[in-house]
Amino acid sequence: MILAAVEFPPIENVVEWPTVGAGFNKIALICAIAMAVPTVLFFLAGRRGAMVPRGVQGFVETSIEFVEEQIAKPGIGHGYEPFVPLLTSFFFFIAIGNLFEVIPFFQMPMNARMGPPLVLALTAWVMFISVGIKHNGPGYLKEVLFPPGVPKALYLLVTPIEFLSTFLVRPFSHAVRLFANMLAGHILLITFTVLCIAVWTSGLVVAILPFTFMGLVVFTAFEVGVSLIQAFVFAILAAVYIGGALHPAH
Amino acid sequence: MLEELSIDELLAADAEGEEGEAGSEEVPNPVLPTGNEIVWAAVFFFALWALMKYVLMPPINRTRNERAAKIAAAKDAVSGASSDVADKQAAYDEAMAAARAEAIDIIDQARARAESQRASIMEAAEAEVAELRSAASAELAEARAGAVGSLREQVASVAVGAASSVVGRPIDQASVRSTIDSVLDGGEA
Repeated sequence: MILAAVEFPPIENVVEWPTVGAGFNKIALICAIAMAVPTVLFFLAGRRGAMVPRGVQGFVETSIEFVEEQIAKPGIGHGYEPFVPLLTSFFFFIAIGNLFEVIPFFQMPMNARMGPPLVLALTAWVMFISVGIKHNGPGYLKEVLFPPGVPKALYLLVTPIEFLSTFLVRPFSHAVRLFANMLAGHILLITFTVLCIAVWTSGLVVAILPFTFMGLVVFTAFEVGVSLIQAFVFAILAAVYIGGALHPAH
Repeated sequence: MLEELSIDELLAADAEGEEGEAGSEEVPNPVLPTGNEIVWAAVFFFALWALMKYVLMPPINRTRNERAAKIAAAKDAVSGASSDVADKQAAYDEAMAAARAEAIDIIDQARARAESQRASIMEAAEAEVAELRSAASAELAEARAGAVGSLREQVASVAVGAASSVVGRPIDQASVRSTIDSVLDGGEA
């Protein structure tokens, strides 16, 4: 009886959005907001410039310090400073884009579509390869493809694996990790929402609705955490890739 | 309406619906990225990155660096002040030690001077006492000699008187005086 009332929306209705011109759709709007929010916050913080930071300035400076201390320094190590703007952009763009999963009327994480994660992962990929070649010359490719200390005979096996894992699979896994997590969370929330609606329209409201509704509330809170954690994971992986290219001997 | 259908009827109706939808339009793959989203995501992300790098973060980092410099300067000032305090404390301790040593010297000198004065006063007092004692002794000896002389005269007079009474004639006191003096001095007559 309950199953009969459950009508899960078609997947294209869950992740695809109409465009209003120049391909601008809901995801593009979220991307714009994910850019605008940190821009406004950082602008206000920079304009204030007080010696004792409070309010927005305190929040922004704490965020920058978090990116420096928890992402850039552990991931890159010595010489991390030039990459802090990129990592801060990664973190804020992804975190704010993800949080739209639980914001009413949007309820769609930006990274539940493959486009934005792909752009971000390719940016990190281009960046770490550029950094590797800039700081180590063409020897960087040799260092990655022919790791020192490996018996020469094993290069037949190791070199193709390193090539695949570092230059092909890495950006793909980097993007898919973020995309799949956010899409799964999005579908999970839709599932519980649909269940709540189905139970509400059936005759078992008192018996089952509290459980499904609590499940929806709990998973919504869980997804807020997932949104921030995925932003952190993406940024720290980018930092680790850049650090590996900057100091390949380590 | 739905509640009256059996599960088999529902599944059959669902399968028919899917076939109909598949026939009418192609279902997009939700996993594949779409060009418009890639472009917009790239536009907004690169705009954010450029703004962060060239516009937004430099003033914040400048403020942070100024604050760090101020804190470092304040720490240096505190360190300098601590050093000054240590220097002043050392100078104070040194001055205190010198003052204490000087005070001990003054006390020692005063004590020596007092001791010397006491000794000289005692010496003078003893000399005066000795002088007084000597004068008193002389006076006493003189008084004693006078008393003894007077006593001798009286004893000699009494003895001569008594002896004159015994012998029945007057005795010359001068002739027996040596005998009387010898008896009084403890000798035999």
